[in-house]
Amino acid sequence: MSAGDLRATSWQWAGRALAQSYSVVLVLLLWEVLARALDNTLFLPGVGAVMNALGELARSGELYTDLASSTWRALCGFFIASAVGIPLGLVMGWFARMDDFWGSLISLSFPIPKIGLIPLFILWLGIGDTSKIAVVVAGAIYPVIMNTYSGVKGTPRYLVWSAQTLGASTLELLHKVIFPHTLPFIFAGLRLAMGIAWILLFAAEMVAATSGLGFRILYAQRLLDTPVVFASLAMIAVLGFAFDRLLYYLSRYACDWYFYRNV
Amino acid sequence: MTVPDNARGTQVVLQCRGVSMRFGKGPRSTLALEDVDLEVARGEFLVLLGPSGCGKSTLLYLMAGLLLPTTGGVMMGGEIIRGPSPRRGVVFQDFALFPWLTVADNIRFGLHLSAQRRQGASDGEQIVQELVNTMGLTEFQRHKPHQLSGGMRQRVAIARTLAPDPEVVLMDEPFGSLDAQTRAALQREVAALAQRTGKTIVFVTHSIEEAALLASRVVVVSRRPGRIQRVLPVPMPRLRWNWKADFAVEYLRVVSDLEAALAESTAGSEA
Repeated sequence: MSAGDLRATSWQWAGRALAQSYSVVLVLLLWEVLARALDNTLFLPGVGAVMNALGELARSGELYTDLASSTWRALCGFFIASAVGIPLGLVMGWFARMDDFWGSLISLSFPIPKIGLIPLFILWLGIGDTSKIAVVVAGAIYPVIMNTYSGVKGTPRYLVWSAQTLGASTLELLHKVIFPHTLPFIFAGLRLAMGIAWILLFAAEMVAATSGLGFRILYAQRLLDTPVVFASLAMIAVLGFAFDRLLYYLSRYACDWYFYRNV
Repeated sequence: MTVPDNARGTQVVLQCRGVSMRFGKGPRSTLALEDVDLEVARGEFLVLLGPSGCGKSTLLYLMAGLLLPTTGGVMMGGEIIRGPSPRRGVVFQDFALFPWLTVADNIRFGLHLSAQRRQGASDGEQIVQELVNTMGLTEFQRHKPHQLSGGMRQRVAIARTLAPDPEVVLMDEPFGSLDAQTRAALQREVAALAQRTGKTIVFVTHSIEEAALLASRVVVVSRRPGRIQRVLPVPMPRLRWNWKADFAVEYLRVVSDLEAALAESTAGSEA
């Protein structure tokens, strides 16, 4: 990123947006060429067939209920993971005792495959939204905690000392110095968490659900309706892209000092 | 509460008694300071001068309460210092501004903390505006630190330190990373500021010229482990930008005295 980016004119923005879409357009073109060559909708439907399937899902209203229930579950999980992970990472980074207490538990539980927890969560929490949100939280919380923790550890000693000599209490130090300094790292953790949230959510929806994009994929596969599988995957990609961009621009806005500093 | 008079008829603000500082433990530890006895008088401009790595900054941080001595004690007004306090403001070499806050918010920082509210600081905004104006930051109030030059950043840092009205201002090579011209301008400003406010200042530097320009008293610290090598009063008016011939002679005499003392300190540790 260069300094010019932040002051770019709308034409420059448009130019960059175009440049960023070349790779995507190229893949779509290859896909379409391949699909036409194979001419087998069951094996590899073309762009047109997938768009038709999407239109069909939209007309029946299934698309909206799927989108709504998937987004709701993913965001619930994401927000719970953030609400718990950020404060936990902050106190673990600052208080050695908190680090001692939580650190080994986190290292132990991090490598457990969260997809493997889905049957347990269904057993304990039922087949509704709760078990799916729980899976998302269980996976998304780790990058939030770890990035927040690293950010706290990286806070320059002189910033802490400045605040202390100006009279900051421990609480004020955490709230007015450690947290703002850590915010860019927190955002990096949140972007990872958002990606993990979608991945785990679809896994959970494919195991047991009656709505959602993950459910739609499994259902369509059973009916050998490959265009719907592709349509659902495309929706997942678009959703994930939109939320990642949202977080990215939010971080640029909230941490302008950080992005300027690293120009 | 202050300790009453010493021989010169001045009040002692800060006092170091038998202060030693050792970093680390065991055979790999380093002794940074050894048996330092020092008194800082109210209103003086005390310069700690020494070669780099001699422990003069460590001594400053001990006075700030950011470090605690291995043996001995640092006292303010007869009370042992156990941690940092807004009564002792610090200006760091690399400014240490909060990069996410604007210039005005950086200066305001200390005024919005509970420590200050307990003391009932009124007119916070007036204090901020006065400091912004006197430090020449009026146009830059809404800028963030990354948009400022080094000299401007250090002006903000000085204003931020002064805002909570500390009794003592501790400055750790504050102009060390600035270019010569900016450095000269800020030296004048700090001398004028010390003169105008009558604040007690402890100033760390390795520059003999800077010490001779600013100090009312210079403490020469020897090479590691840091000990007090010599204490030299500088009997000149506090504002030394009046280059009459006799004044220049006096300045050069101070410079050569300090050079001799520093050479002594270097030779002493190498022997």
